[in-house]
Amino acid sequence: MERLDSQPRVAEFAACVCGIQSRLFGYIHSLVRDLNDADDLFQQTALIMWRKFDEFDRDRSFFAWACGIGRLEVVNFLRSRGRRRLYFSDDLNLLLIEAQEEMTSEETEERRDALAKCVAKLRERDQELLMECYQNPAGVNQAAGRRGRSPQSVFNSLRRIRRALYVCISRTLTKESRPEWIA
Amino acid sequence: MSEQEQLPEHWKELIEDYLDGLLDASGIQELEENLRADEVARRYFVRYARLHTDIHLEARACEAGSRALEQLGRLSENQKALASTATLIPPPARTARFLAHPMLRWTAALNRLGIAAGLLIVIGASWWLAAGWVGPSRTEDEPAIAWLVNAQDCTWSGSGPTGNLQSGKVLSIERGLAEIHFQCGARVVLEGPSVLELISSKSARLTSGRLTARVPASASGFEILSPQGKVIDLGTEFGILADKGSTEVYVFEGKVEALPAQDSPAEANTVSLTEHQGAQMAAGRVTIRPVLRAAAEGQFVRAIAPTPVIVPRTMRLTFAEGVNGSIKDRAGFGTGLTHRLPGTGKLLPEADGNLRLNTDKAQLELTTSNSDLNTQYKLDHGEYLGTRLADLGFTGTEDFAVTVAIPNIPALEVVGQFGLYAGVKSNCNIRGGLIGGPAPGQYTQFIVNNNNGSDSDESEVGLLTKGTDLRLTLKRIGGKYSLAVENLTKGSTSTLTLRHPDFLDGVPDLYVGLFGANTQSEVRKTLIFKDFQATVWKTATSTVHSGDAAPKLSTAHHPFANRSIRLPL
Repeated sequence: MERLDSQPRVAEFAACVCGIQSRLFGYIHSLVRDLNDADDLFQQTALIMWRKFDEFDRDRSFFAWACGIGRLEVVNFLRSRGRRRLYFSDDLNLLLIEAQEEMTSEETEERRDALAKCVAKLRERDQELLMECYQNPAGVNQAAGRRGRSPQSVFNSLRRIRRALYVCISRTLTKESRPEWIA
Repeated sequence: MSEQEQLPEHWKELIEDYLDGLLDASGIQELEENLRADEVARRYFVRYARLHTDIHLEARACEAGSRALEQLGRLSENQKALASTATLIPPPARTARFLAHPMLRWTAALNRLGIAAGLLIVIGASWWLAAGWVGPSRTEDEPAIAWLVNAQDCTWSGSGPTGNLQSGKVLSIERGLAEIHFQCGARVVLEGPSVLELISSKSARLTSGRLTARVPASASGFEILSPQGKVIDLGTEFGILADKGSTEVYVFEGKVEALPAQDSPAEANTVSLTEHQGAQMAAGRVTIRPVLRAAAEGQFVRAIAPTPVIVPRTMRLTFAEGVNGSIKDRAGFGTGLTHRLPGTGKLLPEADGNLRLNTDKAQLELTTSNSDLNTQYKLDHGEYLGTRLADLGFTGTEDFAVTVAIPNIPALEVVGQFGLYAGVKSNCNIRGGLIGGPAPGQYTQFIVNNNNGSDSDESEVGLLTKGTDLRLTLKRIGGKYSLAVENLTKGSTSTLTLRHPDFLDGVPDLYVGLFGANTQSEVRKTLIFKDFQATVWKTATSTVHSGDAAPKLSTAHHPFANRSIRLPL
């Protein structure tokens, strides 16, 4: 561990990570779907990336490299949880990484910015429901209990809200003249 | 808005279920197949998943941020330093609610602090080493010479490709298509069954099977070896087929050189092939052969085209208003349902006294009559009404589904039954739904074939009681019929299938609809039907996406070119 004297490398690593971290986090989260797990796995992945940074081939995509490491972490994690086959195969993962990579950091940022605006356009009770459900993993059940509704019907409401948000975000991005197919 | 809107609704639902953690292993499998087969679906998936992530982050940013910093703190003895790191982070530029996630803050701090924050990572890394984490195997770190970039309907023998593709990797594909990009810029479409060994960033060995290679001028010199020789590309596109002692080569564009596998590397053995020329390599010789261009080109798949997209055509009735020109209720309002199952309801009046369209409540109320498809009993007064699938573009082979919600089910007397049907006429159909047991109001789910007027192959399952809210779905997917009963009261779903009723196969038009009957009792009850939908999935011309799509897609030969995606409802 003689890395203390490698200050330029730290800066380089930090710059690389900065450029992709949001998308890497999104990729990991799309695989585990739990924010806490994604958070842990992201941290682990970042640490391993640092440890293996020497081996990273500068001609390759840093993002694809990072996702490759993240994917292994996720698979190990899901296997350790005994979630048999509740994850995607390796070759689909490669395709998904490719699709992730195609979505630029810029687009990711724009999507998040647009989300804030679109959430603000929701009816107040939809906003409340959304935040309540997403607050923790038991959010949907809690929200259902509090409203005397079945979890399924809350899931249905959530879907409606998410679809509306997705459409709203797509429109916002289209207005900002994204290529046609992104909408 | 565009191509993503054309994704089948069912795929989008699968993605929703996936994100909500509601998919079981078979659901994951189905989603995987859809994603693997369709690039547009993958684009949608990553963006939709991104939305899911962003909402999470929005809802939980502050909380997660502090958690992550604590966690990092636990990795290190130096907790005080960390705490000060945390306080150094200025409030984010966005609204407080809309904080970036913990890692963003962490790295922002890292940027600011340079080496100090770098130190944290080093500490973390050693912590992970100490904890005995086993990293990816060595081979993962070897330089990749190629990448798998697309796959369609692929079945790999043994383990499929994992990670990047390194020298020595053997791709063995039993069926389907795989597209591989070599580092030099060449793109190869491999069609199963094939075995391809990757040799270097500009060469590979086709042990058996077929592929096409598209090689930009910059990658001129790219080679495909076969047991009978090798083909050197001079910036072009060609197809190669290795099979039982001989190798066929065909040039789509440009020029290649073909060399037989022989010890003597004499110049004379090299044969140059140009556009639309074909050759055979066998027994140490290369022979230029006359080829029929269409036949030769039909042998090869030059690019992976998206699987045909199937779009649903749905007829939906909410019963919220009368519809002219349809079966009339007792007051003469059109119910929206247009056809009765032939052989039923002949003696019912034009304004059917058993029907009431309740537009205020958006429901159709149906009072059962004494009839039974089994034995064709009193069907002239039977209530079996719905629509015909030909009106939705059905021609006999398409997948279809019919679904309706039935809230607060009443207690029918013994063998009373209600549900959905699909068929040609009263004595040739399949129906499913709920059938009353000995005690009024206790039901089991059933699905049954009726050919020549008598029920056969009945299957039953489960027990439901009156007052339950249901949604029934009868569908035929990939030729297989099933009935799903969603219990909206309990939130459960059960599905019944039955022996395939081949007497309905190949029928160019089918009637589908709902029914209710008090079969062996005179006690009539009123059923409520809401939100009736009939859907036929039709093949649509799929969008060819932008990007470097190869010209002149040739999929005629492709064994799956005409295969439709199966779309369970």
